[in-house]
Amino acid sequence: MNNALEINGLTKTYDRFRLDNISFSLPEGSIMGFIGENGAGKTTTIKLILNIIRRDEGEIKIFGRDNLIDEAELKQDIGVVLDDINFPESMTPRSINKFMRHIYRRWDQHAFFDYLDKFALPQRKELKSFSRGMKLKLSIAVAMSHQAKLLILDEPTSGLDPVVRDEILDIFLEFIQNEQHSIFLSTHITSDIEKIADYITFIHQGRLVFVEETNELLNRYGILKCGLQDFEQLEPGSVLGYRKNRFGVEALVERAKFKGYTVDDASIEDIMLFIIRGEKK
Amino acid sequence: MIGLLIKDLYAVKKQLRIVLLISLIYFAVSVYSKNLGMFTGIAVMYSILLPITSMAIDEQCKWDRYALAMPLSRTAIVLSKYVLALLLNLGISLVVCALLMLAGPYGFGAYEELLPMMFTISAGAMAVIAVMLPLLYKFGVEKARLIMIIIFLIPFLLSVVASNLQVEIPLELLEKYVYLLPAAAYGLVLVSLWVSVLIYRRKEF
Repeated sequence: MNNALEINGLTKTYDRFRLDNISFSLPEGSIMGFIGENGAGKTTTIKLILNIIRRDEGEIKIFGRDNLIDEAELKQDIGVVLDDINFPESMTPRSINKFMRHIYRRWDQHAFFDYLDKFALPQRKELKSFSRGMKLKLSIAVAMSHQAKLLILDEPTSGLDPVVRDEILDIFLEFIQNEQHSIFLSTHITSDIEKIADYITFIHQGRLVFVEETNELLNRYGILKCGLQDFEQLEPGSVLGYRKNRFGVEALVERAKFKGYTVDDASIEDIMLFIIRGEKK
Repeated sequence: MIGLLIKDLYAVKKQLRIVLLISLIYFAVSVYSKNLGMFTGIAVMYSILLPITSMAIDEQCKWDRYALAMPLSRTAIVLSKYVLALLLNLGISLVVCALLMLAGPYGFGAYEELLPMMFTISAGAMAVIAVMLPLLYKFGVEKARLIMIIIFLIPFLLSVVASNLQVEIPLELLEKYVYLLPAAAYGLVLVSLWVSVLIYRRKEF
């Protein structure tokens, strides 16, 4: 299987932050969720992929081609939603259509106006009267209207209500039906990722924690609930993170190592929280 | 690049209308007072404001970050701003030119002299833009404005110092070479473009 996106040893150093040696790859035809706390380096990684900022080290390949050498050509095939809405407020969706068709070779205005209808966005209203949700939907409409093969989305669902979020996730799932299409999306909303992502990449403080298939991840980890005394007797290193409460201890563990115990399902949020905030044994 | 120009024109549409409206008001006043000189100068100098406004709008909505995510080179993004400035400058100059030729022959003011003067002012406006744009790219709109105010104080201060020291300004000599001014201004624009591209290539958003 070809990779839509391949990142090797990506490093970028700022005064107070370092994105450190990040590597992962996104196979064509799949969705990868990119998770991590605020300031973990998600937006930095996305900006590096798009060459909005310069990398210090590492290599980025998109559809097998170097992202710097073939930059302009590759970007024709990438649809982008960044964390802010970057159109001047005095513009209207209609005026955006007028200039976008000169930027993207395969700009499809019918698709664009269809998305506007689908999202119930007015064509002639200035963006300053749009809510955050409407602006986000507009960015998504733009990203999906030039026959992109790879969508790179920074927090595309934050600030949207659950109904609209679900609608947008459906649109992403529809997009991915074409097996040459892929999506890389960062988000805080881990339940969205559980619904649609095939792979999950988790970074914490600029470092990669894991890249896993979503199902495998959810199968592998679970939450063990036990009393304090039982917990003390567990092998050190067998617990990825734990927290104490008044009934005993909850611990994130690998299910395979705890056969015979009652281990509950862990959500991605649990896994993230236990790894970042949980105490280590 | 055409896409960027269209986007910029849409973004400054309102300001462009205001500039044209104010110019027309000045034109009416000038016709009334039979002195078209004032109108000519002011209308062309207003054309400087529009590219700066466009940069301010871009900065506010973090446009550049998004532009760089699209299939646009950094050089094309910078070049399009210069072309925008040039187009606005030429466009407004042409409107002024047309109005002068419309009003001049009916005795509302001497226009034969104003036409060449207008081209000099228009080139002067481009020279100001040539100084301004690299500063805007380097320091952002907020700081660049302050720096510009300081820069424009310098010729004023020099002239005060010169008159205090009773240095004779060779006006005749200057007049002789005044036709070189537009050429110098456009030369400056080219140098400025080169500097802006260098600045923008190193910039991160």
